[in-house]
Amino acid sequence: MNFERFKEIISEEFNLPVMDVDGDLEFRNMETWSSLHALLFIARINEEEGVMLSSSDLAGCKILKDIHELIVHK
Amino acid sequence: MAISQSIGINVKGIISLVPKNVEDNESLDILTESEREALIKHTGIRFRRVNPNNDIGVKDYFNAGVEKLLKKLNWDKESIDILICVTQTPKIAIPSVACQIHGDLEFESQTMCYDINSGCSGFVYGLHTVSQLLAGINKPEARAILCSGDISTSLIDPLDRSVRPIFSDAVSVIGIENTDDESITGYFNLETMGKGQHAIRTEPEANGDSFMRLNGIDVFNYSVSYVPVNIQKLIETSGKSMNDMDTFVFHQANKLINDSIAKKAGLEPIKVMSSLYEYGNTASASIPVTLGLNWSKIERKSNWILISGFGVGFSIASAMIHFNPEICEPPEEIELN
Repeated sequence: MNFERFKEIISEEFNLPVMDVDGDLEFRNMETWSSLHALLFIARINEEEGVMLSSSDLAGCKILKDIHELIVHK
Repeated sequence: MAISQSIGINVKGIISLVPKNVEDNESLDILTESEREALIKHTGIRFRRVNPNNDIGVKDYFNAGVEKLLKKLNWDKESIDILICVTQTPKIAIPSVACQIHGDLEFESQTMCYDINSGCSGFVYGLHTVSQLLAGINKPEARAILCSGDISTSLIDPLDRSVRPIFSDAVSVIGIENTDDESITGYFNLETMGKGQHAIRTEPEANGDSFMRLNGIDVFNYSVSYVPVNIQKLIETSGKSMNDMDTFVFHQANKLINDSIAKKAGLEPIKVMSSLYEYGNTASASIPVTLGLNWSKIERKSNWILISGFGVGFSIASAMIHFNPEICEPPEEIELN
């Protein structure tokens, strides 16, 4: 998954304009970050990429770029 | 566990009881309006049943259910050989809920009783246990009552935004009988992924309360990664096919999880039943509640169904069973005082 596609998914799942999605964004500070939206994001990544992210995977991430790296290398 | 079979077991009747008291997720004040809308859309859960009286517990609902089932099946208490309760929400730890029901309803001493501490996979575990016990009784019409259900709201922190909108109270009572038919009537695949024990658990509070906490992402991971594989293995071993099943009934976790499992397992969506909108996640009663709610609408050809429970543990239990009950009713509302 390239980073542009990743940004589109973040934008759709967290209701953010795609231009505001930046790799250095600390995702837990996003206004729309919630357990439900995080779950929907995990489900979307699983459906599109076949990659399953766990809560401990996410716990080790701080910014959006970290999550993208995880998806690419998992 | 290796895949196991049951022989000559007949599920005669299923009834379910729910508290009359309803909570509507559309007016749940711990969520914002947009959160409520997203929650209902993605979990599929609108209404939940909540036991309104803390003095009333799961045993009281089971008592009422057992009496109703015995009456509907025209069974005498004296004819019951086995009484098993599947629950994780007893009001007291000792004695077992099954023994309390036995005493309250004055069963005869020959009825064996015990509890199974199991959650969302519990109905299938209970059915498996009862089937094996019945097979061991040298009596053609040995009878069992399986009680399966929880008053989950007794474990819910009212401010928990992940748990409260999901869980709902319900119990089911199932009558099961041995027959002299020696054909296979069920295939079971029971598994445990104990490394997922932390995904759903009760946690003590400083004030002495204990609340159920849920890690939604891990529950999703375990459910979607392991349940379809468990089902596929069951189907392959049984020699049957998906097409042989009249319906598929999963534990009602939430719409996101259940849709993902159905898709990965390659099930026909039209055959997958739900009770999420009406009753939410009713823990170990969710499969019989869903069966009862939808049974009159299901096109019956083979009289075989596939059921799968998964959750707390992390525990997974799927079964293909021959299912042609005399009674399989939608949940009945009840007010207990």
